[in-house]
Amino acid sequence: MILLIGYGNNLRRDDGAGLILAERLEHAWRSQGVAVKHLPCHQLTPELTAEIAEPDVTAVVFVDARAIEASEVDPQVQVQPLRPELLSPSSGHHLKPATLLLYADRLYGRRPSAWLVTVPAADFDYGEDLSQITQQALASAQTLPAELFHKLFFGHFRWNFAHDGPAFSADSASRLPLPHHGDR
Amino acid sequence: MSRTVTIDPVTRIEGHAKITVHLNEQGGVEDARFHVTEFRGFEKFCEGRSFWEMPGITARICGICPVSHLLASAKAGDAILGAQIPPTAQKLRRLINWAQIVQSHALSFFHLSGPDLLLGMESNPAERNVMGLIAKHPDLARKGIRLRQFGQETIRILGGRSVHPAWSVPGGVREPLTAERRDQIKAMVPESLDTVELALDLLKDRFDQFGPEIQTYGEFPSLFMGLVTPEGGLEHYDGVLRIVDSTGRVVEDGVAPERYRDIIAEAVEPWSYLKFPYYKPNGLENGMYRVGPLARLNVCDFAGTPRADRELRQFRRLGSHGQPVLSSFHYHYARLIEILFSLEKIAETLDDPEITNTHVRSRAAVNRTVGIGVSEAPRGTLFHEYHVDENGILQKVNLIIATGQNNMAMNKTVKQIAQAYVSGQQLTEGILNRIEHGIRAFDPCLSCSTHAVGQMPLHVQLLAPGGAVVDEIIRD
Repeated sequence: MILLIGYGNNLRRDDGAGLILAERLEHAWRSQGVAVKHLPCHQLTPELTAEIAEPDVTAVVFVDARAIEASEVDPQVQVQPLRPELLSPSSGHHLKPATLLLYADRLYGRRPSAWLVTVPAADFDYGEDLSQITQQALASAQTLPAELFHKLFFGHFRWNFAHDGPAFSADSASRLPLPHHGDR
Repeated sequence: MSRTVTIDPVTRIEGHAKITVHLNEQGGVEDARFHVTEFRGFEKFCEGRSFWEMPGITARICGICPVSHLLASAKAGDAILGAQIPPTAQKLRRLINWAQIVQSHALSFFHLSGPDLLLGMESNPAERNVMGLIAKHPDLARKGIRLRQFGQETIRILGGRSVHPAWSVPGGVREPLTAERRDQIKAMVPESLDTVELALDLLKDRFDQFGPEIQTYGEFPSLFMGLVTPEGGLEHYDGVLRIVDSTGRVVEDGVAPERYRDIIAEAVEPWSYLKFPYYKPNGLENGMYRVGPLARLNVCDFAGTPRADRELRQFRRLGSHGQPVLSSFHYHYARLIEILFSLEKIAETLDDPEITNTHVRSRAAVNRTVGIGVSEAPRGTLFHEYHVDENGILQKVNLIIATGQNNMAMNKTVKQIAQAYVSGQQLTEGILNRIEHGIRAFDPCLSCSTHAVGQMPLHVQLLAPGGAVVDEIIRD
């Protein structure tokens, strides 16, 4: 099962982009019959460690917004592998994904494969709309569900493009309501 | 040469702040300040929205205590409707509030302050963190996570999701509790009680080691404020406001929460985005008061549940000659007692046959143009005040956040710790951690207080009196 953790605040404009993309990944993967548990969060907190450590979790995908650098040209959605690592010097409520992975490893002896997906974000002001940069990046990430799935499972599953969910387009870059917690 | 030492940001608290310590020519501490460096904005952002939206909006102020805002906001909405909510709805709101207290206090004790309390203030900084706690007390770390899971799972069962549940609304709640879900929550209570009893024993066993800290971490006279039941019992959802002074004398009693402006005013300082609420009759200079677990236990006459009352009797012995407990260090103890109380009340309320009643919402339209909702968040008393037009559109919003009310006390605590531990030219990491811990004892939620979420690297600056940077350290 894929554990999907999208996090951010959807009242702070682009900060909620991770939640939107995670929702879309969930829809796309479920349309392929993939077992997914989606946990949308405001921020990463310690009890997520126990979720990561569940025996049926084979992969964890974190989805977040990332503040773009001034030097970044044509910012796009990025995917990077994660490994357990203590990144927060003393930890707070705002934990890093790699730190949660480290907790899962040290407390429960579990180390599922893990990835971080980030959406470029330019505007963190109060509001519910996304900036043009973020909308375009989301619209350009059409093949992300298939590509990321291939990374997770090394191509042992054939993606059925005929059963793809709703297309990612600029028109569909509007906000979707936050889902309830995914099924066990 | 006088110096200013800056701790920026303070670690292991919610939100972002810095501390500046101002040294005089002799190297002694002249002053110390706790700066909150985030912007406020939710109050203005909410103007023009409907009051019906406010529970869902204000719950997104913070990812740690959304339920607190949800409840205070819904209560303000109840007042605008002029509605009496069904008894079962009130019980369900109380349940989710207690669950919120369990999860928030568990995070504060086990995750934020636990490394200091259980590994030692002067222990190796490379290990004095959650990883160090995991290495030395792995079973306790797992139990702490499970305790927080209990709170979060209970919130999810009641509200449909554990973060930003849009379940409590003006007039009541959206969904009743089924018998099956009631039993799910009930089954988790015994393990949680065992965990908090273990934590209480661990903390009390260590009091002897923290003698100096107890004396210097916010040990000073102040007023204390909190809600109490009409009978004077510990209260987190409804009741009346009570203020006591440091001798235990009741200064204000039976104040209806919607009359809070009769006794509370707010000041501002140029060096912080946090407001400074104070007890109005005493004026700003002498009006400092504390809220939160320590204050709630100081203002109440009793808890009302057997285990919590047992612990409350022990807690009271920490005060001098039966007077209130003054040291902010004992916020940690108070938090654990409140977890115990909340678990007992959750179990008791789940046994109430009315808890599964399906009548959970009253319906009404706008009947008043001002609504004030007050409840006890994990960190202290929370006020939501809404002014609406005849269509229920917000014209003005005032939020007094729990952490904001502890602002003056936090500043005084930082100064007290700095004066006790900082002198001459010797600064150690342990001293800086003590100052930070003084803030952590209050468990401040700065994202709530200033309604923003931000990030910044750790940057410590040593400033000359004129503001020139003498030295600086950046920690990644």
